[in-house]
Amino acid sequence: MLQRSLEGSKPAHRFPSDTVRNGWRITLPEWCQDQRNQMTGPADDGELCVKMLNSGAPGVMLDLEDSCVNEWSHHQTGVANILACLRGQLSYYDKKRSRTVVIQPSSTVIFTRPRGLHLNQAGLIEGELVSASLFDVARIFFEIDPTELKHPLCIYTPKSESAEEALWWRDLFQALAQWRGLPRDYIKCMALVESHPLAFQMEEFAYNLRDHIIGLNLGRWDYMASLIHFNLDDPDWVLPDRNTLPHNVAFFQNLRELMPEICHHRGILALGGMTALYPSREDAELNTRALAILEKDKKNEADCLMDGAWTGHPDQNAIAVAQFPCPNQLQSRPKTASRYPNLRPEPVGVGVRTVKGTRAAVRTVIRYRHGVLSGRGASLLDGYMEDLATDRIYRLMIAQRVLHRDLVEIQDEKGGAVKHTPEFITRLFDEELDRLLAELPADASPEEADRFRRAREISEAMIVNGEFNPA
Amino acid sequence: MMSTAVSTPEAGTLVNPINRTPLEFDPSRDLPAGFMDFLLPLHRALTPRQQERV
Repeated sequence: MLQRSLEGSKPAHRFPSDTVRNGWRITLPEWCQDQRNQMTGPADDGELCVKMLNSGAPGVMLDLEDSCVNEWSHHQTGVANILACLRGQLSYYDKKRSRTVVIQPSSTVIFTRPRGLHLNQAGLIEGELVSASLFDVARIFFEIDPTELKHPLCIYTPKSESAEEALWWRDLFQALAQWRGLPRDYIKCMALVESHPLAFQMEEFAYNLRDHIIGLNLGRWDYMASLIHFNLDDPDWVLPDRNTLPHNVAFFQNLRELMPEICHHRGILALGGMTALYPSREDAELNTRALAILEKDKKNEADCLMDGAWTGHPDQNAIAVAQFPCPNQLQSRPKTASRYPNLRPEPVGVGVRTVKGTRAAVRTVIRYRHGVLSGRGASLLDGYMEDLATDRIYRLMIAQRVLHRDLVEIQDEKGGAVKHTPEFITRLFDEELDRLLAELPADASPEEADRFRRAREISEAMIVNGEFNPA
Repeated sequence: MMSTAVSTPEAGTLVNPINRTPLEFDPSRDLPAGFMDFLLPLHRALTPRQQERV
């Protein structure tokens, strides 16, 4: 699919078959009617899991995927935390207040995000790879007692690229339910729309999972990475510096309007994505700026008739929730949304393309990778929460600027054009590594410096080798 | 497509592309009792379909 796109055959709308078009509608269960905010975070961080569940957010997504380092020990900790959360038994010791914090009873809906279909788990069966998605969902399902849960088991399906993949998830959910003698529709799910081709197949995807699905979510950062990846051959798609892109840029906005049109027609929720800039309790200016951006971003999603969105910090919950009508906007249909809008409007007239932006991207990918090498799947860098999705965006943006260097101008601070040759990118990597090493505290260990050097080496190698898939 | 490469280092040797159980992993000890018997038929049915998509 990707290769076809890079050869010029871009993803396009599929006109659904009669089966999909005809009158089917999902009845949304009462316990998930209100999902105005879903907090998300890595499942291997037990303290964060408890904080998210005590935040008052209507939904919480415990993540075994992109925000969690994909290594066995982190994964096992994540699974143990999810099981404890589902049982309401996880706690942590708050050193500042010298007390143990437990999960408070609430109606918060708990979702588990397993690893996607693109990932394998090795070592379980000699000489064979096991689907990581299968292993994750099976591992959780095997150990829960459905009678102890406050709602059916809820799974967030990630990284799907086609409606056909929904059939794989359907068959897994129904096989598990059958094993326990539960109704076949026992497991519920939300699905991330975070790859460009899936945006053209949302209705068929929901149809294939109609016994299970309660909503779609526009996973904006992975979606943006995928959009760049599928258009890597096209110089018109060389994006501006990431943080100069407006939140309502057309390639997001058109999809934001289409998703509620499809979801509400079929009776399920449409959720928006994560605002990357995080509030800070230590930095008043950043805090004010971040919360103002959050409010504007979520208000825009609500105006697009979305029913809620994601956040990742407890201080974002109240503002996010307040932007969306309670409990949802299922009865609303967009007045002007086209069923087949342009989902690939070029990013014309928005943002700026600068060397400063390239340099920031280089610095961020090194720091993100350093976090991964230190056991963190997500890192808060300069106020922005960076994970595998945003790392992909930065790597792809750097690659775009190199690939189309003869056609697209990137400007320095004086407005001069700077050709982004591979040698220039290597120089930026060297300079930013030097800067990061110089900024290390005097008592930093030699291992810390080595991790930065490895992070620099890996990041540039991934760009050079064209490694942009979400793995 | 034009290459982005100055040279082509072996990125695959630098990053960890796959989650692997530790060398000392023993499913009968490190996973819940009965889990592998539960997983195996699901694996036989679903992993080949997943592999087609990887």
